[in-house]
Amino acid sequence: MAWPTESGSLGTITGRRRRRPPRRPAGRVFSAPVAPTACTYTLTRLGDVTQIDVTTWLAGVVYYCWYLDGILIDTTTSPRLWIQTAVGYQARLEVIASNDPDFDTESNAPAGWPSRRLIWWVRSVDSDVVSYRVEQDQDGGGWSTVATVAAVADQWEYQVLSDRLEDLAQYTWRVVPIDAAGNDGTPIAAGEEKIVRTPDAPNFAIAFDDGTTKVTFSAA
Amino acid sequence: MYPTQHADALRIRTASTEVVQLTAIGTIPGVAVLNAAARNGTGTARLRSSGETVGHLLCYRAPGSSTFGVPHRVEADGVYVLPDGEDPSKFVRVQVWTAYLAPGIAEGSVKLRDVFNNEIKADDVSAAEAAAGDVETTTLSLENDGGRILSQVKAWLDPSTENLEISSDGVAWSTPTGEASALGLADVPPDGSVTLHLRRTIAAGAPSDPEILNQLHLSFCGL
Repeated sequence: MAWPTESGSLGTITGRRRRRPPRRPAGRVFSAPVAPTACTYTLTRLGDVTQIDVTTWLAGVVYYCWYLDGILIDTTTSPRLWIQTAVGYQARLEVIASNDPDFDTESNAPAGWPSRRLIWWVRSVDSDVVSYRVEQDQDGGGWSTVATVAAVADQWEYQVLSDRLEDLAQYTWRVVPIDAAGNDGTPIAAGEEKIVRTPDAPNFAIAFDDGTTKVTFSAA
Repeated sequence: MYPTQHADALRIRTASTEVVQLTAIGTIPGVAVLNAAARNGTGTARLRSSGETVGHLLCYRAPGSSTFGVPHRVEADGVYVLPDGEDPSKFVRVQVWTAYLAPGIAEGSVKLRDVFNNEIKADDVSAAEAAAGDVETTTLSLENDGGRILSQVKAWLDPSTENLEISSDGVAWSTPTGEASALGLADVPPDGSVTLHLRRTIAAGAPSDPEILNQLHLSFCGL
């Protein structure tokens, strides 16, 4: 099956060096919104679905950029979002509100070490593809299906948000096109990535001065 | 399909695989981003297409730029290079399928992020290697995919890059951090290549860091 490209059409949004977020208490936690505007929010929960409503003092058309566990999941002009999580699942949701239609959601992404990855690809140009199977390999343990996405005739690009990933595990993802007869096409794969959710603390030395009774921390 | 004197003429490959510096997420119908020049930097870029009486016009705007590049007329499927309007060295190489381009105007965002552990593959340093210290070398092939000779080829390291050295012969190593003191490389004829060696030294007892970004700068003249 023909794909629009052999490389570059599939990527995972990779984490990057960011300021480590503050430790959150246990439970399902939704952090307060961050710059550039201060917002307030309300949560309404029904089973495993949570509705989030954000109130901002911004006037006019407001663009809300929603980040789930550090990954941008949607940009809306509505201040309301629903997310579905398994019972007992912890999530960190952040929203940035802006009047700027060109707001750079990458450069202004919240600090942190994302625990998920967005698996993104462009469609196959082969017309008999009816669905895509998204597979994941963890630490060379073999491929497992994480999602099956139906092909939509006029849809050019697709994406799947991974579950929360294991710290320090090596992951690879691939997308397999499937035709109407159930045959697998040629998969496209993203390069493997080691997930770091909790980077090591910096090395430092502690010294106690008996005379001043002061403790000094310094880089080791 | 695209100007051979363009900055895209010089490709960096290792083991015949082109090095990808930035991951591109997002596009517009009919277009797939094959490669984004490292000079784009990270952030959100824009792609735009508009249907014309004959063909389509495609243009690109790099992150932080306020000007789209000169629209490129596309009448057939193929690979095209779309430069930014303020800095033509910021560009994306795209594959276009004209049948899927929107008939009217379409515009979308392309999110660019640094690629860690890319084809250069300075592989993960084990705890034992970190404790004892480690030295790794990589060979890059700078290849001329354009139609004109590339001269005054220079390489240097970003000042923020640590523990990395470069060499043209794998024997004499240096750490230039500016174009003025850059390592000079031989001219590259069309379809030719020159070799650049990288050497990374991990000091014994180095602390763990999951995301060290080493940046290499290149300049050349293709006119």
